[in-house]
Amino acid sequence: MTTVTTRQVASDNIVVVENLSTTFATPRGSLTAVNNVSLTIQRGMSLGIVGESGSGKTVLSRSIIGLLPPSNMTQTGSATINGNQIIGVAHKELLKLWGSEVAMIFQDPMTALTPTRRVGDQIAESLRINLKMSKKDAKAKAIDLLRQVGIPSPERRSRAYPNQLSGGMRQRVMIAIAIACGPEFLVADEPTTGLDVTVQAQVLDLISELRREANLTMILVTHDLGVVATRTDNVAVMYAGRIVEQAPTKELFARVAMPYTKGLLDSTPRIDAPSHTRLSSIEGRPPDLVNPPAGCPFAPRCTLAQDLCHKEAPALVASTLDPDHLFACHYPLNGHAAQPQGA
Amino acid sequence: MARYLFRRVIAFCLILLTISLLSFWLMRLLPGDPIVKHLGTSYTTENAQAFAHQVGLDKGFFAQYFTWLGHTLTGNLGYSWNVSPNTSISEILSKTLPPTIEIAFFSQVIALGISIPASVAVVRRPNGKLDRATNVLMLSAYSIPTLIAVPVLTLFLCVRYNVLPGPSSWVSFAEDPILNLRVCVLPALAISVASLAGHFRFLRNDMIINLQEDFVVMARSKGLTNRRILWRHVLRPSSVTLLTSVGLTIGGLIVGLFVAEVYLSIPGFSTQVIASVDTSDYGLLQACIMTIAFIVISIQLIVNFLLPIIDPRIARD
Repeated sequence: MTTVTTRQVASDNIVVVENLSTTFATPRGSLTAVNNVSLTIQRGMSLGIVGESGSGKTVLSRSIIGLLPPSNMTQTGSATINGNQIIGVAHKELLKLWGSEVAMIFQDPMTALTPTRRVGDQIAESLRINLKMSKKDAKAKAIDLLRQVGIPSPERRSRAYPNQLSGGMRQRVMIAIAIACGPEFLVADEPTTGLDVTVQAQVLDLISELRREANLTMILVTHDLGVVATRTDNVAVMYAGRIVEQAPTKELFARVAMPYTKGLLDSTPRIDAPSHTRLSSIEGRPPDLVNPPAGCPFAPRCTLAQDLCHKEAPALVASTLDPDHLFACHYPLNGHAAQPQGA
Repeated sequence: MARYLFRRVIAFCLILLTISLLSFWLMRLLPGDPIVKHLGTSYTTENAQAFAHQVGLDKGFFAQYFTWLGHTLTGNLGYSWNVSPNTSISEILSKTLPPTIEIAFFSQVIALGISIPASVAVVRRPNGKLDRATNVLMLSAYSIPTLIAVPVLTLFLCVRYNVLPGPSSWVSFAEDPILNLRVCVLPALAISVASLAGHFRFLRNDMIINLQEDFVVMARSKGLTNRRILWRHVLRPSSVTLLTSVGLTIGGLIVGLFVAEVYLSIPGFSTQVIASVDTSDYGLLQACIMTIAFIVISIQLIVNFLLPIIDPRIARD
């Protein structure tokens, strides 16, 4: 009986990442952009990955779906999507997943859509290649998809080039391309960063709605904690290529364990604060990933750092307050404490 | 759109007018007296005066220029002084232009036919073995002057392996289309090597830059093969410099064309240009210069018109 339950739980995890590291060879030396990351995502859930620029969130999300160009890069560990191994397999194997099972939405829809092809063709192309649709069917389905993502007069818009559409519409086109072939897993890399605030909400609502309809699993990469708070089930906070804190979204915002996460939260503007309140910021810069510091990577910027922090890097451990709340800190906040190993 | 075209056409006319005035003046600085060159051994003072009066050389510079301009604008290009027996210039142009345009056109077809697939092949691994080898090959080809390329190609293709007709076998397309095309291959090939390296270099570099763009990652995430991404997504946005380069190259082909035409005895336009310089055949030379100017500026106009079609991000000013 127990075995069956375990198996069901295991098969419920659509994404399983184990000890994944991604290292780039640069002229200055090797740069570990993703450092020994493990995580799982249950089917239908959404995981927010937050962190500063250069924290490795984009590299991690692209590593998980195998989308990094292979030149100058080495990967160790494992990542599976629906049981399909991603790390170290041939390009041919990945082609079967991309577009059909896995899709991606990019930050800047202006540069992520091919400027010289009509948007309708860019949607239809995916349908023709992955679903082997006929030219005519693909064209009709592309117009349907444009309608589904809320683009007015889709027939006319399908013949437009990306530069003839507004930013919000381009992002909708990109979402239409992503969902065209009915993927199960979606990686959205800063999908709203380049958009007006009002359009941001519309695009996020659209993604939420489409996810609900198709029970779509999602990774949402962002640096906007406001977006994370409302749109994700779980959050992973990245710093210097590692996950430094991970928890269900509500739990994280209620009881932050990591001083870095607290710093991120404190540097977010709050609507209930009096106007002209100065935003606090985290002093210093993220560490150089070619020569990472010994000990905790955040220690040089941490106001609470003690000797131990500079000597020994903390492991990612479960909290005694909530076993789903993981953190990597020697001196956690809010009464968190590491569960004893093996408990 | 109408305004854009209108402005272009006005600029076009102004450039042609300026070129006509400049060339009219410059050709009168050519060494040697055109009357002496024309009359040769039958030169006498009376003959010279009679000829000068007949063709209007006894009038002032601007009188000559405006007479010429008036005639040209009404479609009368006049007669050559030296191409016997007093052939009309329009007739000369209509006979000599087709072979030259044909060869120039095919040279670009060959240059693009090689440089496009070569670029697509090498950009998969920039600075890889294939890329380096192709670069060296293209630069070597670029360094071969037409003066060498034509005889060497003749030696191999016409003499040693006898796959192409040799020199002096020119026939017009109307007479024998197949033979005409076969004769075109050799000069077109010899001239194309000069354009090849430039076209290749421009396209390769632009493709490498565009391969860094997000839309390539997006295309990958759609499950497209690398081959499809290169041909369908990267090639077209990378063709802007290439197209501009083709436009600029065509004007510069005339020297190579001259060598090829002389060597292969092709009765073409560039041979005629050089001959008219040699003999100071003012009327013919002026018509030739205007023809070249017209072709070069027209190609620029066409290129400017095509660029926004190739890449919709480019606006028509």
